[in-house]
Amino acid sequence: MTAIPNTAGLSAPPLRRISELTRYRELMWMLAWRDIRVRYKHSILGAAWAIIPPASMMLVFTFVFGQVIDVENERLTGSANLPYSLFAFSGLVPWMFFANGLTGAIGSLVSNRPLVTKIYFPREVFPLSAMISAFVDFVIASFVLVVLAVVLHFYPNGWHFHASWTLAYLPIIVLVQIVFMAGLGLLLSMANLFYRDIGFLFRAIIQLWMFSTCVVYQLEATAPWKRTLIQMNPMTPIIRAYRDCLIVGRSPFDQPFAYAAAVATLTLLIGWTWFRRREFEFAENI
Amino acid sequence: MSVGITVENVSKRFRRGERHNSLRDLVGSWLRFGPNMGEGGRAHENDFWALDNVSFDVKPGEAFGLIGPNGAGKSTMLKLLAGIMRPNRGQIKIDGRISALIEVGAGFHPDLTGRENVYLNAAILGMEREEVDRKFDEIVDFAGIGDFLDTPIKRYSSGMYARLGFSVAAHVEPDVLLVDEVLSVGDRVFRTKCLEKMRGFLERGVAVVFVSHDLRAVSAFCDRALVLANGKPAFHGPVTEAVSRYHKACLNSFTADGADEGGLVDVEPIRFMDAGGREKQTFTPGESVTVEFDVKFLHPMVRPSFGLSLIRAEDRMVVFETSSTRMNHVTPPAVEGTRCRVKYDIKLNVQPAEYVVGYHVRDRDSSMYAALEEDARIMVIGGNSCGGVVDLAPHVSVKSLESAPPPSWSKDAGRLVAS
Repeated sequence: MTAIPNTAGLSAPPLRRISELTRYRELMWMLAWRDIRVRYKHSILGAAWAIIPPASMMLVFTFVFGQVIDVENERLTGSANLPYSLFAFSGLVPWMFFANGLTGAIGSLVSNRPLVTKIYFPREVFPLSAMISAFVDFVIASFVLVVLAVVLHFYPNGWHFHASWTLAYLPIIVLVQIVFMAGLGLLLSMANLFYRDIGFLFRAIIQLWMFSTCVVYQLEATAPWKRTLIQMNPMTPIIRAYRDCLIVGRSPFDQPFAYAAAVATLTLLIGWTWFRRREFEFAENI
Repeated sequence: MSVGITVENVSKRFRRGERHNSLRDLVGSWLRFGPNMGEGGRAHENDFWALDNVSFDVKPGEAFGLIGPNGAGKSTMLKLLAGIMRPNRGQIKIDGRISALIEVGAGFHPDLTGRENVYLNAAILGMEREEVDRKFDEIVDFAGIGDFLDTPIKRYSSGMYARLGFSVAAHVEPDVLLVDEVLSVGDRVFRTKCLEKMRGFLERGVAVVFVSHDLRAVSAFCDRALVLANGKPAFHGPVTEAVSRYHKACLNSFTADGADEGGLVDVEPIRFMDAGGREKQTFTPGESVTVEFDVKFLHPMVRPSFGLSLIRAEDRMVVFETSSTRMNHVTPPAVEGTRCRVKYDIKLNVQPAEYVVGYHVRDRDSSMYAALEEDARIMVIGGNSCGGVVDLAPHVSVKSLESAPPPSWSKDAGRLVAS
């Protein structure tokens, strides 16, 4: 027996909601699969488009920092012989996952309007499935990252890839990033449903956000007073943690990372609670 | 005892026009964290009740009809039942898994093949993958699209598209089924199949809520029905009575144009006259008839249009309809308080039966509308020389094309038989 409460009633308790979501996990995968299928169906290069955007950005930054303004490698990467291309790519791959996942999530409720207004299922499915489809691109690009690391390992430039025990931390970093993205995705997709400005605003801000995250330079390359500011942005410790455990071979768990994990968890809690409270207004406001 | 669906004193409020008129509204709604527009929520001058204190219940194995003119609140009710929206007041209880045939093929993607879309659509309707695997052949058979299974559905005809959508939805095993106008898809054979499928649901104890403008389908399928008019329950009871109340609900119903409760027009009883000007109710097929009614305007209308329709009483089939606008007949603007006489000359080329004559008045440039089709009835009587709907005034002749007529066809043989 299901009772549909009126607007004065409460939403389903979180645990029941989670069990409902697991019932619809199938749908989440199907929608992600549909997005991927449709995205690459009419393209010649297909899934290569998962790799080309971060690769081309990596080339651009390598060219700009290496050739045009000639910044010292050690200042950019923190090491004299760590190739900048690898440094940049290792930041760009998780960053693109972040940016693309959120861009997809923000529009997901609005672009699935017929489903939102006609059929009931947990609406979290839309932003989450948009992130799954970005995650698939992330996995593909990660393979290229590994290939790049191996190639540079054998390339005579003094840098060597140390497969290290720190790789075991990778899933935790990915999880923290996903938690943060899920929280933001739920909040922003809902906000965009009520006010389309959010989508436009996000597209304007995401570039700025990338440069205020240490994606293509290391934190130490900036003036000390700016570091505190940049580290307030939870994506900075997350991107840095990827590099620490993948390339540098250092434990990624420091204080800033703990802070990022806390912010991510808080974002998800707030985002999800808010989402569930206002979910039943979606159909009449979309 | 299991209850199917219980709807208790449900009301739903909507707001006309744009959502936010002021920055204060916008900031206010941003800061609002709790449930919105509840019982305690601020009332707004543009608020209106799309549903006002509606109650009904549907038992397992029962088909319940929701009828009413456009904008009466039928679709809103279905959305509340489906859980897409929440009522502002009252409660809805539903026993078991809900399946909604509200939009067939929801979530279909034109670039994906029929096969892919079956899986996608089934997931949207809450089916598990192994359940789809199990029913896949059945779904495809029912839709009758076998050869096109691996074709992107953007190449499907609209009928195939709708059939596939219906078929997937019909293979969910629900405890409660919500149906909105979907039976209008597909050809007659498919419609019959759909009705059979729905009867099968009823036999298995599914509670069905059926929304349709096809009153014939509603009365054929449902036991009880609720008539909604402007969001309020106008009648609740046996379906035959509900259908007749529906016409009363249509009378003087108008959309959100601000017309007051008094109605748009007063219509004098309609009159039927034969070629000789005699008023009567019974005619023969092919007879010329003059239909006449007087209209008094209670509201000004810029371009009034007067419509006429002939509906077979037995099954409510619309045999014929037209309007002065459709016939390019220019009518002068109507001044409030004035009267006019509308006269239609028609030839009753229809089969013998009882007919309801419907007529309506509407303003072409706004959505004001008034219709009546209940009490005006005529009988057409005559020999049963043909069947169907219309009388095409046939003449028949049969002539042999053989130079030497076969014996059994010869005139002599004919005479022999005749004598």
